[in-house]
Amino acid sequence: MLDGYYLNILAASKVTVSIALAALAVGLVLSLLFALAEFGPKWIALPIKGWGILIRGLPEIFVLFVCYYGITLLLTQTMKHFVDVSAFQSGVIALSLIFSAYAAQIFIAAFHAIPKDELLAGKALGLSSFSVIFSIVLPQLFRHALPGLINLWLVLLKDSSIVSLIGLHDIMNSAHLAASETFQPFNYYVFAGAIYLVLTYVSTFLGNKIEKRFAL
Amino acid sequence: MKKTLLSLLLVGGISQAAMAADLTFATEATYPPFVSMTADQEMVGFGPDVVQAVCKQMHKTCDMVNAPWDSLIPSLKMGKYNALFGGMAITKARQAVVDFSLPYYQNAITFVVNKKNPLTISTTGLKGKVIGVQGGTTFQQYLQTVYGNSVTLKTYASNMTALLDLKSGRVNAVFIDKPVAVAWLKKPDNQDYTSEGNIVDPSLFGPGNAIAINKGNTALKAAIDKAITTLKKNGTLKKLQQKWFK
Repeated sequence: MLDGYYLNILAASKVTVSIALAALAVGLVLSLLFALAEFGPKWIALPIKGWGILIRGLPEIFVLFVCYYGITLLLTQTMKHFVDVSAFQSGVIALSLIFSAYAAQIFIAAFHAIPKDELLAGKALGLSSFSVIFSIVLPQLFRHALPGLINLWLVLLKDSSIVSLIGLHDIMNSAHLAASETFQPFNYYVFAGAIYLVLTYVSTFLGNKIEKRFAL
Repeated sequence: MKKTLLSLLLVGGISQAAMAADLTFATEATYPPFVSMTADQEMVGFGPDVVQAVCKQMHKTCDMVNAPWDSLIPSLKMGKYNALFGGMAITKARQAVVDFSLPYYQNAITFVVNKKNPLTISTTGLKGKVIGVQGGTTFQQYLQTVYGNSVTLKTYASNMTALLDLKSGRVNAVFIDKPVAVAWLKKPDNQDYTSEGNIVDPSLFGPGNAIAINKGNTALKAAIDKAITTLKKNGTLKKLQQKWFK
């Protein structure tokens, strides 16, 4: 029953997971920077805020196409010879930009959830600003942000399927190739859906573990 | 140790460069029997066989790459590929941006219908029918030109989704390449369906499928044209059509 196409789709989950993980890593760093920037001086805060509104206001597929076609075209025209930005690289750029725009909002909300009195108390006890950030702010920040971030990770994992449209051989792309060769779309797409279910179930399970670990 | 690593890297780099083919041909491989991917990730079909034969005639080695359809012409223009093949029909719009070789295949198109609801292919026979067709194709233009408002067109992103809708009864017929219909009708699940008509009309469908190359690449165009002429004369093209479209 499991013909080569099923194995291809299964193998393609490696692409889906690795692009989602890469976008998560880049996206987390970006979102922390974006969140920090919103507490900074106006000339930093305003453009960053505008950027967030821009990305959150555009369809994911639009951002992806700009990253895939736009960046290559721009680089090719400025360098005067063909510069390839691979589908994987463009995918990571696009997905991490999208992820970070939403995650930054979660971090900002988490910052606000930390009682300001605790920071003052820390200072009153003679802690350095460094210690205040590392022993008081960051642990609480992640505790408050975790549920939202885990939710966003699930969205990212599934939305990574849009990279199939720029020719990356992820789960959906492999299912599409198999379906068009065999004219049997349902078998392969249902199989692809089952893989996503397993991936998201494992994610939720691990997410709960992490949340418990960080809980008070 | 460091030196061995470095030399390994160098050798790796060189052998990879040596392995790179003279020319890269690209298409979207989701259109059997013209071009599709096997479970072993191998590109097969009428198109790849024609490209191999053309490259053999030119004494060049060729790579074939699977890429999304919409990215093909922009990537060709930027120099990522040397040529495009597959369902590249010669149209006026495409001729404005790329050059085409001599055509190597003339489309024949057919209506796929349920055996219980056969169609008569005429303006009256199709009156009020819903026809599924791949959007943005010469096929869609043909239906609009010939049947106008007497039929309702439903456009799809792919033939596969159009055929699915035929099975669920949302369309009365699907208008697709005859070889695609033949391949689809062979599947045991599709025994209730049949194809009607075999429409060949260069005045509306254009001169046919060809290999697209960058504008101004006259050397490559001349070489490919020469190869296609030879393949036409020595019967290779006909043989490949029989191999894939039976």
